[in-house]
Amino acid sequence: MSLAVADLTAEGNASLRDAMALATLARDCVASGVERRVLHLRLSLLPARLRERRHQRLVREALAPVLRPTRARLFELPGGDLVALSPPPGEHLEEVRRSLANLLPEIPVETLLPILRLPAEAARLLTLVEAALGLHGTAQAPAPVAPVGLAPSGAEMDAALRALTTANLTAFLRRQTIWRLASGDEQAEPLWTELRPHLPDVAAALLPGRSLSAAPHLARRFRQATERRMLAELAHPQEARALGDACLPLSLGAVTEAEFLRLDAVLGPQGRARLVVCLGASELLADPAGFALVRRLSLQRGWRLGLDEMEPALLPLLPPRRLDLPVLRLRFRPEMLSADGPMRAALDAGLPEDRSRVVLTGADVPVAIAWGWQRGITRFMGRVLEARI
Amino acid sequence: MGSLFTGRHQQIPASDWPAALLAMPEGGVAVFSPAQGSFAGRRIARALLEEAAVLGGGHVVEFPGGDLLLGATTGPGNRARQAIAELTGQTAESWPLPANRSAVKARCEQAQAASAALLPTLAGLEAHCATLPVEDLACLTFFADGTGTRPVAQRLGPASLGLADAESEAVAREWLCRRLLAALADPVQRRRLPALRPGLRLILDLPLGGLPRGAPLAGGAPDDPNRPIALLPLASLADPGGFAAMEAGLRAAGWAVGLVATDACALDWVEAPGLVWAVPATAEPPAHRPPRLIALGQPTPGWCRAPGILHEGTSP
Repeated sequence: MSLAVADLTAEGNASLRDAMALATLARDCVASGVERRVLHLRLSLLPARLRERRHQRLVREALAPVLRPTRARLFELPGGDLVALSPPPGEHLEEVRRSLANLLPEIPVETLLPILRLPAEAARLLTLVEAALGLHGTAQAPAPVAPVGLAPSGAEMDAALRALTTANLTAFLRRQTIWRLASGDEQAEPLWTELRPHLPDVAAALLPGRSLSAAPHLARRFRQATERRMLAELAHPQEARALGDACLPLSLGAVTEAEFLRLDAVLGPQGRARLVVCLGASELLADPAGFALVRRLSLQRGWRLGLDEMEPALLPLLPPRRLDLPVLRLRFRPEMLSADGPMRAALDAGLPEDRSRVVLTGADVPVAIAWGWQRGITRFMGRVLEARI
Repeated sequence: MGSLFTGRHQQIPASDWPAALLAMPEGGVAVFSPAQGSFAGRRIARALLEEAAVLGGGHVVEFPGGDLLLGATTGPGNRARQAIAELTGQTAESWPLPANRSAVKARCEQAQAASAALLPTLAGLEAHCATLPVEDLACLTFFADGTGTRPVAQRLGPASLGLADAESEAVAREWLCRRLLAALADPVQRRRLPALRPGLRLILDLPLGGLPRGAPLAGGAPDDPNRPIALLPLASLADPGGFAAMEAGLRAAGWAVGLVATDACALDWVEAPGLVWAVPATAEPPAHRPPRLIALGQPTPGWCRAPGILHEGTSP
């Protein structure tokens, strides 16, 4: 099975690369103090009637002064905008701007064809690059409203945990694919299917009106009990045979419980070789001895152990070269793009040398893929890949 | 602590061990895995023995105390025993059959008499931690510096409940630490806590959230080498932003900041520059030794008697 990923192939790839190159250039100007003039051609603002082939040709003609080599660099952004960059004073840019303004009088020139100065206006340029990459659309999506409620009492928790031992979780399981997509690939290749119970829904069903986020230690217990229930189902021989290349994000406690150990036994050597178990970084911190035990178990039994829920801020605290695990699941955060020089250097230095160990999760926008590619990361999980099925 | 342990671990009746013993293959081996170490390790031992039982034609008996018995052919039986040792560090006994049949029988009779090892339910644990008398909440231990033997520091930390489950112990630590802070803030309760010795540097265990706002606990001057040390659980690093804010707050209030981990292997994995580390001392020095270390537990291994290391000693 392989799926076409429209935005990330052929033309889409080129504009992504352009966008990332432009962002890098803007940062370099800031770092070195080199001055540049930037003409932003906001062609995405044009109404459809002005985007016909005839108009496109006219625009191309108007662009001629900057299309000649050595005068300026032209970047094509996802969405159709163009960005031309030239050393000051940038008379070619002015020339292009004038002819385009004549060609397209419908939109005020300040809106359609803004001029920016680097390095002074680098932040503005980065913002528009990020907007073109679709980053802002996601950032502006309303955050889910956190449930307000009291933490459950110990007795309520015990009752919920008892209910979980027999609950049917089928409706609460979520599957998501982890893909390999390298720059230039036409199609993404599925590597593993991640399987996990959707905890907020399970909690809403079993602990109505109570909030687990108010009590982290209870949340851990609840998560573990839910995962044990899922594992008990997976350990049925028929289910286990169908598991295939799977990634199970689990809590530390669940991995050393009878249900997982049964699954481990039922899978056999071939099945175990196709399994990745991911433990959250917080699990390691909460119980290092338990983590060490699970790591020895993974080596002895032949499944792979990964570190899950790695945040950029955690990378320097838990350096991958110290842990040396076969899989590291790093969460993409928009801050990774806006990070300044030293922060980016620290982040890059924190990545494992073998980039094929890294899975970038939360890749919900194309720029996450571009960010990964810049660092040699080719394994991704997120909406940007899922949405194209 | 009887009331604490109300939940029972699932068990297979062990009363038929004599039948199991009779059914053990001649020329095979009886593997007896005593209930030791963490529950996680015991469950793994059980899974390995069950796998050996499938391969080696036998079955696993679990005794009331959690001891496990397997009779199997020699190959799978001994491989399981070796795997258990590698994974959990616990040694299972191996008795070649039939020569040792009577010795195994004696071992089983002994195991039959052992009492059940049980995990507390959350409600039981919560109730236990809530009702523990103030006097039993905390432990006061003393620390000498480097090559010295005279105590220079004292740690006021939550009592350990000795649970064979790291998660339950962490939950209990959290509840006890909060009660400990509340007791320190209340003059009446404070008198019932172990009495702090004047002149010794204070090492205080804090819950995940750190020191509550307005806690009446004075730090020292920022440059005072004897300013008190706040020990946060390693788990609090999981939120780096929150931790940084907490650390800054504590430092501003005149505290040195440290991390307490339940196992020294954390030193090999976690980089925390500028923080004091408190870990149970291992026989061998860790590969990554932090500049400032508090070695917990006794006896003190030789490598801990070195500059920059506070090691546990006897009370003054």
